[in-house]
Amino acid sequence: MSNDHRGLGFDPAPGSPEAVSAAGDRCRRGAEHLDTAARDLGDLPGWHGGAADAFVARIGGARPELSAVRDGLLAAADILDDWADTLRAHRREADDLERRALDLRRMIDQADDGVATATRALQVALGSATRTAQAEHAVAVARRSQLGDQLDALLDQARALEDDHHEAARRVADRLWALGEDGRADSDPAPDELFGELTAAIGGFSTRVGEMAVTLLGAPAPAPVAEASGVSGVAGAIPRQAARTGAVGVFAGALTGPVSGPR
Amino acid sequence: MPGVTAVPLGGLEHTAAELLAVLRRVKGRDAARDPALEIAANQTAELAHQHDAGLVAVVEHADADPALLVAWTMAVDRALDPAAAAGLGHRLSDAGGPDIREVTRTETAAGYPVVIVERISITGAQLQVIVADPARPRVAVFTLHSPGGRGWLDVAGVAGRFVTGLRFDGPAPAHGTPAASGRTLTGTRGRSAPR
Repeated sequence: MSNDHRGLGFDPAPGSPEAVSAAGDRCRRGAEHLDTAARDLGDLPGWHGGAADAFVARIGGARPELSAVRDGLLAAADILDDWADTLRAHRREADDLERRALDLRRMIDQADDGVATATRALQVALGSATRTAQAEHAVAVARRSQLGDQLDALLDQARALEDDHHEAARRVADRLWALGEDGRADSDPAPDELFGELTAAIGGFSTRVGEMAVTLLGAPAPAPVAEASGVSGVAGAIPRQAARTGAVGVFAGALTGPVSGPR
Repeated sequence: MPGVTAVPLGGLEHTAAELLAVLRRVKGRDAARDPALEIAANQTAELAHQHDAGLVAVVEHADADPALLVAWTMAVDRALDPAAAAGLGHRLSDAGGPDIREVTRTETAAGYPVVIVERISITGAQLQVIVADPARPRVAVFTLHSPGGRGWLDVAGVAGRFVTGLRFDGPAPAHGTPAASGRTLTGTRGRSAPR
């Protein structure tokens, strides 16, 4: 499946199951190496005496630590195997959604052509032919609208998959972090420690800039009701399409484009 | 960059004067003599200096209400790679509150991991953009806020083209505090756009 995501416009389930499986395999090989090392270092034929005895005793003392690391590697391998399975399932679903989105976009292009043709026919229709042209135009427009709604629903599905995928990835990350709970170095912060302060700061910036913007540019004026649901104010001033795709998509598109202006 | 006017932050009076000049252009000739504009500019300048903002700019588009763009840089415990940026996105989704409309991840043209958060509230439409420096433990947080909301997609596009020019320079700020210095941010320079 092509990875340019021309259908959906984004990849709901990024990640490589093969890479994750390979990482799990490396963890298992690491665990096996530790087993081998613990065995080999505990038996040293041909070397005797006080130094040999001290060495064997020291290695013996390290066995519990080696065993803990080995167990951690095996547990990580199991987590990675589970994640690889989840990734494969999500990728299959994402590929299916991408195929369907591409099909819908092709049909939408054809429907757009149909609307254009029907519109031209309506413009030149005379007399009794006008009614027929109007009916055909209405059918073409309805078809285009229906396809648009189907694509919107598909994109909603893809976004839901993206949310599930990221949530699953987060749980995997939390499980892997938890493995290192006892042996984690002091310099490695847990996710809550890493993001708690930053998340709080971001929330503070949100409030401050909102205050500054209203101070400088004025408070939002009551807007006419934009939808039957009674949404008003800023949300009502934002087109429905923006409410679905968000300014996030527009901003992200501009972000990854070529830089304009001097640096 | 057309559509983005950054104001200097070296001194309070200079900031206020530049904000007033932008306001007069944005509000149009009829409103230019409104004394309330000067009060608004002074208060906003005070808030910007009080909170040690690293960047303050007005974002404009011919078909949109103007929006305010403010940025800070801050240190974090460790450099955020794309995976960590994903984790941050989840935390913001979980902890962000009911105003959050959407959270997503992407990267700038320079390859910096980015998390984007959109909020819609009674005070306006807002985008927060967290840009991570993968080489150093720091992030830049841009907040774009439009009280009016008209043409929100248009100003978002203008701001996106501005932010993509960001380049991290210099040392990371002191840990745990936002950096006042705009010296850590270089990139697309704001220029006023004629209406």
